[in-house]
Amino acid sequence: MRRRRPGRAGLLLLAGGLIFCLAGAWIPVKAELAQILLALAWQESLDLGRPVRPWPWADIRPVARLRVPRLGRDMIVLSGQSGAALAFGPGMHEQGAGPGGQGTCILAGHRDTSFRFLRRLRRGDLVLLDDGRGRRWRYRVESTTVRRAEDLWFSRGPGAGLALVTCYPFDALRPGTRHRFVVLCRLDPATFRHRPARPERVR
Amino acid sequence: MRWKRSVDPGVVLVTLYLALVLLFLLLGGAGAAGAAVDPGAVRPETVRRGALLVAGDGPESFSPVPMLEMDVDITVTGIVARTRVRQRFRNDSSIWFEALYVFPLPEESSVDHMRLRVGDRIITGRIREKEAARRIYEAARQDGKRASLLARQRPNIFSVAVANVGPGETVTVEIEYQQVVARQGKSFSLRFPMVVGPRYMPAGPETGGPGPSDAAFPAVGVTGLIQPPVVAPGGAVVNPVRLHVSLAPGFGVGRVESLYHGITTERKNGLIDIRFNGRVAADRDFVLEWEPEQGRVPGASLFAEHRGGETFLLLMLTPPATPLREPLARETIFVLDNSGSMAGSSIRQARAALRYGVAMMRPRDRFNIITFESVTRSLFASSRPGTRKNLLAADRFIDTIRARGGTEIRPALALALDGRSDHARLRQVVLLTDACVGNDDELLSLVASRLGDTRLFTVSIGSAPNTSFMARAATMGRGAHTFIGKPDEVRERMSGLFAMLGQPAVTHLRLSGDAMAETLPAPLPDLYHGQVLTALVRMRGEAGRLRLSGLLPDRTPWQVDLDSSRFGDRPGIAVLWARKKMNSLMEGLVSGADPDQVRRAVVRLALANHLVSRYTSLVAVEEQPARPVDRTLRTHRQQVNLPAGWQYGMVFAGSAATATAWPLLLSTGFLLLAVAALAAFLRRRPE
Repeated sequence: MRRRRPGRAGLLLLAGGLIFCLAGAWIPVKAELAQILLALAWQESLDLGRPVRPWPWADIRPVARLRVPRLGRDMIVLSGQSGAALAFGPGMHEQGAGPGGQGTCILAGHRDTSFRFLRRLRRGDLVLLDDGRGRRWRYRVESTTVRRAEDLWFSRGPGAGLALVTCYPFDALRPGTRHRFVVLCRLDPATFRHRPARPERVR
Repeated sequence: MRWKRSVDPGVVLVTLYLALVLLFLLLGGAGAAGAAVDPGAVRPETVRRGALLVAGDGPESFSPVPMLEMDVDITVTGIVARTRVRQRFRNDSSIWFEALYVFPLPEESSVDHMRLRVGDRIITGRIREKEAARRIYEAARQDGKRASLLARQRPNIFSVAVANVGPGETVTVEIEYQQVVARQGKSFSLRFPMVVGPRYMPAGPETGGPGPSDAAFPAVGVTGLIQPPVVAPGGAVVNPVRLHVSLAPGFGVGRVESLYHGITTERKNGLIDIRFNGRVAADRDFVLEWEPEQGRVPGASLFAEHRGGETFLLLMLTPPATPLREPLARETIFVLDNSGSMAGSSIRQARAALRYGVAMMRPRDRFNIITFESVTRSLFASSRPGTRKNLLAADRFIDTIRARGGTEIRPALALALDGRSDHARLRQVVLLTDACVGNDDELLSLVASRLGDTRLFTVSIGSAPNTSFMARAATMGRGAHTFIGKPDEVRERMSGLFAMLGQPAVTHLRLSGDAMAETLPAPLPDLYHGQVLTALVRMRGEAGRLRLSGLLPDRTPWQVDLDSSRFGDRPGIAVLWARKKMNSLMEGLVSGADPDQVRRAVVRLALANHLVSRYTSLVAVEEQPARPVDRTLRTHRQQVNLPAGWQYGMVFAGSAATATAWPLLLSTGFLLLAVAALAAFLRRRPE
């Protein structure tokens, strides 16, 4: 058997494949790294009582901390639903309610990074949302549904709800599918019994 | 050659090609997986219904609020329906409450009675000018007396306030109104609206907004009032309704059908009793349709009432039935609402209706499609003939229509109504919308000023459209109003509308006579084949002769003579006339009549006929105070259900891109690496 060196086309394929792999892998790695910096910035902003940038050139700010104890999830929520925000973590819809507010607080995240865990949520799961003023809001998962993106409207009416939104199906290769996976949660009355005196430290 | 030795370009090309094919297959597969999800299986409506079972742990449950139940009794005699609505406010809490409730009534209803029932005491409401009524109510509320105030917020939206409902008490507000049943072809119908859809109030300086005279409660702004609090997703369905209709149409009834609710029907001695099966959530309108038995279609219904030296007439006449051999050539402009409130089943109905309408176009007709939300779009720059090529373009355009954004009807209407009166063809604008807007008057004045010789036909879509606006727009546009309540009605209703559009029966209709004082509506609308003329007439004296004349499509004159002394006498026609007259006075307002004069005329009519209007309210006050002075009163705004099939049209969250390209990038990378490895492996094998 003769050993041959790989041809020019083979090298091209090899290089292309590596570039694609690196570009693909960088997205989730970046999201994970950003969350570490965001957690530090979140803690600092709670301590200082004013928003702190996670890194000097950041154009996003942390607005809440989302936790799902059963699944061990803990992440910092960013303001807005721009592509820039969602690259680093779930984003809070600006026109929705704030945590615990009247109407629906809407969080959107990528189905393949921050919000991949949504598929594992079950009815009755506890979802905790800490706001920037050290208040902790307790929500319970009420339903999970799939809706078309153009039908995705949420209430501003009475009662406090939380909607977690991500793309659907979870395992689609291509971004930009027409459906969204929606987890609806309602404020748990226990919120008002479990208010901590001081916010706990992150991580 | 060295090149040939090192690599076989054929092999590389084939592998590259294979890689691309694989990539596209994977992408296609991903798309197919997305489409394979059956949206019907997981509709949010289903979820909302299911979620009712777990209701009761919401924040509402720690502070009890007044509960509301409704009983509705409708008596239809001939073509007039009298409805009594009993709203029972039950207070199970330990505090004193004031309850505010916003609810719809038919736009043509004349509300003339309100009674407040506390235990076995009945207090009858009196008609007062709106501001005076409000002050009376406010004073009673402060003094701790039980009181109720019934005010009109929009022609079809009313509000009731009940003060000083004590702990453990039930207070009932009884409202009565009268209306004429609708007739289309040989079928009659009656609508009882049960839910107010959240309204879109466009931003910007053009919004006239309600005047100060519309303020019913000082504490709550009017825009806040026509937008009652809506039960959140997963919340309990509120305001259960029990309904009973007693139908005595005066002829043998064949078909009786409730379009959107399950009913039980019982026939005895020429009367038909119709009931809901138990209590029903107030989340969609009730519509009852009935038809005479075969061969017993009444040609005309004519009623008179003599009052105060005047005669009031109600006419329902069928025009001559001579369908044209060939429908007239026309220019049809379809105007479609694709705003956010149309999301869900409404937009699907609208698309289906539009498809149906466009398919009816023939090469000698011209057509165009205009869609509006926050922005206005049109298919063509100007109308084009209904050729195959243009119809295909329309079909592709309809496919791309999605519901989003606000409801800015104005620019679209201004585009469709060009104000010209010299069109060669029959020019018709078909407006398809749920009309969930708050600036009705502004839009009506636009229709009035730009109509020209165009005719405006309105098609209401969805389970709770703003039918008041749609019906008034059609009247102002001298066209007709059609209602599509559920998807399987699209074909029937649209075919009815389009059959009609091509078949005008009588135009230039007018009523004349020596003792004739006034006719409503004025001017009389064009009549289309299968339509029935409904008109109210006021005459001086006890009797007189009338002549109804018009032009047939071939321009030959047509006329009928009527003698009012031969009409059956029937009380209630004068009130119907007063209501219609008030409507027409108010319509004058949007086309520039003096507001003070209109106000005085409406108030005079309303006070004389005991009618609730834009300027008059009904107020009832108990003599004795009930609430001890040391107890405080809490105000509660009763929640309403979101109309059936509606999405929570408040915050749209579907625009966020909630997926990244990393799985795609990574798998493409792996694929390329695999191809490279395969190529290397192939090259290593001995030749």
